[in-house]
Amino acid sequence: MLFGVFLNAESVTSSTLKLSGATTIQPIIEKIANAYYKETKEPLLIEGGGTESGIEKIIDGRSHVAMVARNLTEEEKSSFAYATIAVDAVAVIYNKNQKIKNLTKNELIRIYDGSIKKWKDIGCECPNLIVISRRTDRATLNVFEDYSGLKSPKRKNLPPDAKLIRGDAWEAESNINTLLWVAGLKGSIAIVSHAEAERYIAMGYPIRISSIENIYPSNESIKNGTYPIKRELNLLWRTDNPKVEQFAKWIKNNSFKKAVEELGFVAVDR
Amino acid sequence: MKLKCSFCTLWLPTLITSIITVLTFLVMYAFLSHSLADMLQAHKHSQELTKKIERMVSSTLNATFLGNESGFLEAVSISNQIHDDILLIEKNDMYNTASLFDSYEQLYKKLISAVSYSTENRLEDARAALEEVKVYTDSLENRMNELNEYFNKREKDAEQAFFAMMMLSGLLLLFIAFFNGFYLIPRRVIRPLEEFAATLKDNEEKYRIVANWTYDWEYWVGVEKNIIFVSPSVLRITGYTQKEFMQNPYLLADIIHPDDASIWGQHVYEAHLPNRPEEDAQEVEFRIVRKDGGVVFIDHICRPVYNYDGTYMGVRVANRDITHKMAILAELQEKNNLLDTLATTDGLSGLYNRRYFNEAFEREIERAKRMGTSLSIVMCDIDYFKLYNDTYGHQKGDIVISQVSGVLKCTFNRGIDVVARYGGEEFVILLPSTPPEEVKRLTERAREGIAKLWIEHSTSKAASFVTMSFGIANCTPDMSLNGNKLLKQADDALYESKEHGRNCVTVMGC
Repeated sequence: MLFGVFLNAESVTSSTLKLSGATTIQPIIEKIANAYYKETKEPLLIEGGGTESGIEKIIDGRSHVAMVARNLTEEEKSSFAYATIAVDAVAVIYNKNQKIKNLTKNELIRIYDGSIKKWKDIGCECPNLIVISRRTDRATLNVFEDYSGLKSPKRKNLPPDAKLIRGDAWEAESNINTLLWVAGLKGSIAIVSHAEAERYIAMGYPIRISSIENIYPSNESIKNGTYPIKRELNLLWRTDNPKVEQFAKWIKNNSFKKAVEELGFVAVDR
Repeated sequence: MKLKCSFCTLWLPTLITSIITVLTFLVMYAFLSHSLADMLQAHKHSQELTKKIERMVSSTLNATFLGNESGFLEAVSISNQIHDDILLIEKNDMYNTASLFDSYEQLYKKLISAVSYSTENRLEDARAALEEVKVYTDSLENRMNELNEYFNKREKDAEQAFFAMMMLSGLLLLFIAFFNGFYLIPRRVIRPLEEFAATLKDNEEKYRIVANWTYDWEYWVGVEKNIIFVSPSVLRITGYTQKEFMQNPYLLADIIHPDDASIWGQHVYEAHLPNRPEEDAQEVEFRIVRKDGGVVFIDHICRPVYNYDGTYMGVRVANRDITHKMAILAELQEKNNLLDTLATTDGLSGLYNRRYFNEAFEREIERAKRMGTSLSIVMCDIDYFKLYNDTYGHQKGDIVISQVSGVLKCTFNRGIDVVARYGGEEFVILLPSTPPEEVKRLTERAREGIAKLWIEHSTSKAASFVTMSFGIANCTPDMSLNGNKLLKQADDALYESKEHGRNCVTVMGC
């Protein structure tokens, strides 16, 4: 089996407005990029890499706007300008051939900490439990860690008594990474942006979203807070660039909000 | 015989063993063909698997680098199918697919990582991931080759198993054939048959001896009048051989004595009447002419015979040579006759004796009474016979009595006349249904006949020769008449004759 790989690196100028970070937010920006270019003649250079890498990049100037798919820390809020653009749930997903529809919080934790070794342990006939976690620079992981009380073993400066996510868990990068793994591998379970999961399911990918404690992540349950795993989607930027200011001002209009909702996120009122 | 039970002893065991063989074969065949079918199915899945993995990878790469986004969906669905196929291989063939799963998952993991990097525009990472994909591809290729080798081996094993199964079935069938040929058939069929044949032979010999050593001339005429059996004693009795009788069913009829032909004809007619019961033996006696011309008396007994189911089987005959018996019978008859004669005849005169006369007299009186006919008695006496004996001796006297008797016998010579010696020199003659004048005439003739004998009697006072005096009593007996009275009258008449000088006849009526 031989196949070639052919990649073209995009060349960008340093003046081009660059957004980096959460792949959860990436499709929103991609969706409005054309409209933004039409109105301002400014192209947007969009790059994934995860929330934490996005923040790093605006600190060291490699990028202008960080896409942060979690609640901001107080420090971040005081250091940077920011805009909360949407609320998104973190969905627990598995391949559609998996018949279960609900997991308790305890089951979810036990799957992720490795005490459940096989699907059979919770009464499911499915081969090869593949637990998919996220890389430490992905905000989804942070949200999940906060919910479950587990920590990725890859994190630095972990307290010695920390409960850890199982070592053999696959670490997905982007949302598409997570979704394709789950869609393509029976027996896999993962955590991913709810809106992205819904979007892929709508496109026909064999993915199932699990209820947690019998609560399905619908817009309503996310909005009213009954669905437990959720986070804000934020854009974070340094205030020293007029192009960024222009962008920050533009995203307050309705077409941005519309794009957010069209992508399945819960828009926030500002 | 045990032959009746050949189903239990021969066919049932054969049937059971055959059924077991066929069932064994079928079960083994079903099992093997089922597992072979599963294995081939698994092999097919494994072959499709390679193609599917190639398609999955190319779809993914198309989607990633040529912007054909529906390619992801295709890749994902192929990936699910690949999962199913691997599971089917394991399910159908017990092949441990864990390493195959692992290799495939690693390949997919890296491939999707490359996709992910690419969508995030992290081109270096994507390139590195693709290099890794290549490594996993090779690893998966190895796994696939292992699987192929495994299946090739399995196919060979299956061929061997099939061969072994055919051999086993063949051996089983061979065993049944040998079992039947060398054990079951000889033991259950041939041996009983041989025993049966030996018994038959014994029986046949027994019956042959029984049949051939009968003293009588036995034979058996079949339904078609053919001679089924003739005992060898026929030669002794008829002078004809068994063979001659067997060849010529008409021989018996031919040698019947011509005088007995009608007896034979009637017998044959009766003997062959239909539906005669077996007990109904017909017996007849007749003569046959032997081959050498001699005549043989035969006591012939025949009866119809039927077999166990009532079918008519012909006539069974026993002919006994009774010539000897017949000769004895004839001799006996002769002796009886002689005895009869001795009992009723007077030895000296040859006339009836007094005992016979008395019987005849009683009989004739009764008849005369019944018929109303006449009956005459003549009593007569040789004149001065005592003196004759004194003069000439008894021997001469006996001769006189014989001569006188001869005259009387000749004179009263009708069949119904009874001439008897009544005492020493006294005679009595019984003449039924004879007219008195005829009696008188005959008596006179008798007197004259005696006189004419001219036997010298010098001491007789009646004449110089032997004479006789006669008394006749003629009577038509009525119911009151009895023999004594009649005899008395005859005696009185005789006395009367003696009174009148003897050598005369006196008639008394009643």
